[in-house]
Amino acid sequence: MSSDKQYDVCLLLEGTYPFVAGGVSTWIHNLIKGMPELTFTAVCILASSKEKAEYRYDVPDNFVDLKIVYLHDEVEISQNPFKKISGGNMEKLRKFHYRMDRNDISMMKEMVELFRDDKFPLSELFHGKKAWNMLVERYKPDSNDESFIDYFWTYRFTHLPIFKMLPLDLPKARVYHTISTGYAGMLGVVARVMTGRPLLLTEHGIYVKERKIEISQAEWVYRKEDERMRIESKLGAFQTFWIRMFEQLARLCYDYSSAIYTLYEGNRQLEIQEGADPDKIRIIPNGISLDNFLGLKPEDHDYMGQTEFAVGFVGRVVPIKDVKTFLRAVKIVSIKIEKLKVYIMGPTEEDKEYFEECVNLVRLLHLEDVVEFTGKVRVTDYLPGLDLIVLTSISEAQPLVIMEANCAGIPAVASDVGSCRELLEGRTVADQALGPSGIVTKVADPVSTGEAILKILTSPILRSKMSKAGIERVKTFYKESDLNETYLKIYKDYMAMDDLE
Amino acid sequence: MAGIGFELRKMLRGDSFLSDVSAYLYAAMVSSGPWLMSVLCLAVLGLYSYSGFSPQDQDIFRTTIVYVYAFTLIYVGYIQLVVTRYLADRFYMGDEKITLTAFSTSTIIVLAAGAVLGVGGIWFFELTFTYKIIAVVLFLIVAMIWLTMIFLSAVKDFRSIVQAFAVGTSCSVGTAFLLYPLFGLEGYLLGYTFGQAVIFFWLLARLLAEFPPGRVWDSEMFSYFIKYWELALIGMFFNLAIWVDKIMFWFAPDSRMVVPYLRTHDMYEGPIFFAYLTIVPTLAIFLVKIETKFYEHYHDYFAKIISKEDLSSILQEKQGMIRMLKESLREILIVQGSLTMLCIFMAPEFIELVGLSPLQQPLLQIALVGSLMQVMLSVAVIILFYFDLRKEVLAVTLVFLLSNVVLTWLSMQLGFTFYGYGYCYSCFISLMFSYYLVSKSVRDLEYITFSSQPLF
Repeated sequence: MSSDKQYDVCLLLEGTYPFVAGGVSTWIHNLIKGMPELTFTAVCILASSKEKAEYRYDVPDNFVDLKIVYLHDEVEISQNPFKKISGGNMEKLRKFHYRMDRNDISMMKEMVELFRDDKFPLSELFHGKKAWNMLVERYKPDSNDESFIDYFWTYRFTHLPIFKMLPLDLPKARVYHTISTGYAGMLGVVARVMTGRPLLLTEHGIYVKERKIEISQAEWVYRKEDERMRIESKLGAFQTFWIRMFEQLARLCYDYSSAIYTLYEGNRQLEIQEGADPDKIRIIPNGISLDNFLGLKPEDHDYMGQTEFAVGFVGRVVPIKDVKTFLRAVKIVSIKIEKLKVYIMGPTEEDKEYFEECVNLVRLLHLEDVVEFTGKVRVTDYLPGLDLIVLTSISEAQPLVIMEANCAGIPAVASDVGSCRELLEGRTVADQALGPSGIVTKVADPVSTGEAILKILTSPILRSKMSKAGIERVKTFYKESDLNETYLKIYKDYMAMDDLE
Repeated sequence: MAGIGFELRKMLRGDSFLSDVSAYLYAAMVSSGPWLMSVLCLAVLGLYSYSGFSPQDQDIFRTTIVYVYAFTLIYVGYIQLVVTRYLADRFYMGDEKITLTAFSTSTIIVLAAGAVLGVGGIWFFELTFTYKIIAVVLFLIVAMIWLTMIFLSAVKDFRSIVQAFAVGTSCSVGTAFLLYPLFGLEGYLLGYTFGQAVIFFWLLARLLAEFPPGRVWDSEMFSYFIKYWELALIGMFFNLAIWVDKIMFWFAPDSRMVVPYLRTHDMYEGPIFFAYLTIVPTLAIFLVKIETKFYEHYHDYFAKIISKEDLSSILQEKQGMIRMLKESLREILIVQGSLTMLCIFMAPEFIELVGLSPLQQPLLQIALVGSLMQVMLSVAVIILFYFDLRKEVLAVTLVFLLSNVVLTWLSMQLGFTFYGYGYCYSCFISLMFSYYLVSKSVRDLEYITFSSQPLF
């Protein structure tokens, strides 16, 4: 594998491009497509080879020699009685764990090197006596009353992917770029340690936070009966085990990254909380391809004489989007504005029960004539006819809906999540000077949402101003081509850099 | 082996003294197994062989029988443990239909290879053609008896085994005596063979009644020979190790050729065989202990692991298991030790009783000690098997085999006064080695249990 070919950028991807469609994947796709002068390669981490790995994107020509790593595939472990872990190295592994527990990552480099020199054969790590003794030691049999068998398997499941990836052959590149912490981030650390080339990290969502949500909801992680009975504030020991591991992986990745990029301020705060150096973090919001949206709303739109209004809600009908709050807000608006039409645009079959509840709520509020569930549609077909976009999500990162609304010159009302405020009120001083392109409301607050909608709809001047501000904002700060330029400059800077120690 | 426990515990739960005794008796029957049967049979025939038998004929017959038992046991050994494991796994998965299929498959293997071996082995002996044919048939029948017993002990039908042997052995002795006057030596062997055939068909009938018919050929069984190759080697080499000193003595300078090339060693065999009879009580006691009390601890230990207990309570359970093992071993040593001591002191009287030469008295005494060691060795091996430590058992087996070969050869070089010491010391060395492995394995039990788990 390890040919001497050197690539400009090696992306380290976990469960995304080009095999899984989604926001991050599309972002990567556009990034590569936007820099034809650079050669990209990638190491893609997928769950298992049992699931078929099909390209979901028409990958650009400058994206080559992709390498797939399966996280949970079975490993054939051959026992070799002559391959043992030396006492000294075992002692180092002990010390490494001890330090990691105290957030001291100073031994990481040494560990990676030892692993890559085959000083810790997998068979010994999982079947050997010395590794066993360490496992028991770390379990602390004298004071621990957690299930031992679960400790054992949690240990195995958490460590196996790491042990498998540490000795992996990585493509040679001038810059390594990981799009998340976690396992891909750890590969980045390995690459950084072994090659001395800089590692960049871009986080869209915060990996640790996402894993925390996932793990605290996971039922397969064992918890003692009495813990289940308690209020859900405390996580079980094995959930903590998993989360701690992801936290440590994140910390490693933050520390070894030369620079950390994220989409908006909230994420930056979370990263700092997880141990990232604030000086390394830079906010680079996502860009949007303007061609599809600019000019959707006719320039000569008559804001003054308008009496009929159309409001759009873009998103899947699921609890996280909080459609119910939106519906209640619509009720408030419908009392004041007679000729109102509301489109809820997004698939309804994902959470059928929730959809059912929403339909019932529509009936209850007597909004049957006002609200229409369109199902999955092309939003661009609807945008020209809309006067306002509303987003009531409980959680978002940097919602594309708002960027599209801005771009199309349609004001928006959004809950204060993710980067909604930045998108509607401006992030930097120059941005804020453009004026608001919508109103930010509190999460799950139908009254203020309703009032904000009314305020915008009933004030033609405000609407016209917001429309212009939105278009200007996207043109100036969220242009996809600018995003590509930014990253191109970053890549070029780091590519030119000398090898790091 | 593990299968028998349940039945025994059921019997022990009945409070009557009788049920206790029968449990112990069954235990003795099953555990001492084929070896004991052969010695018993020989003893019976040896004691009652006065009816106008020429000494020459008697020697030929006795030697034939010893050869048949020795070589069938070694020969069937390779299939024995593998099939036992295969059945246990299949039963565990609730697939009992496979039994007859596996049986017919192993029958085909045993008979086909056995016929070649039997004919090849006996061909060069200077015996009549008829006698040779009957001997080969006997060889196959006895081999089939061992095989059938494996399958029957899997269903824990020990009563049938005991019954079959009681009836069959009687038939052997009866018809042998009956046919000798008519056809001479050939008739004697034929009569004996008939009785063994009775045993076989009795067991076979029981087996056929127990299980539904299935396919004839089971190719899946063969994967077990690859997967559990250690078991095949253990089965064969352990039996070989038990017999190898006797076989070597057949070729000793002071052995005797009955007819070319049927050889025997008059001084050595007798005391060894008789000494072996003394292990019956130990095997019985041990089997009951291990299959009941030990099994419970063993079960509780794993139950604690699976029911998500913390490590210290798992270790506590292990301490209980160790305590129990130590107690049982002490008990065995006391019972078997006293019995062996008693037999050593009573050796002169015993020798007179069974008609051995007083010259053989020291040999009998050392053989008694050897038997004590050998039975303790079996105990250790069974414990190792409990933890599925096949590689360890294989190591013990090889140590036993090699030491018996080397030390027996040495004792032969040193002369008559040292006969038996080779076997005895070989048992001692293997015993020490196996106890070292047992204590090490028990100490590292949770390591062995967990770390041997495959990753997926």
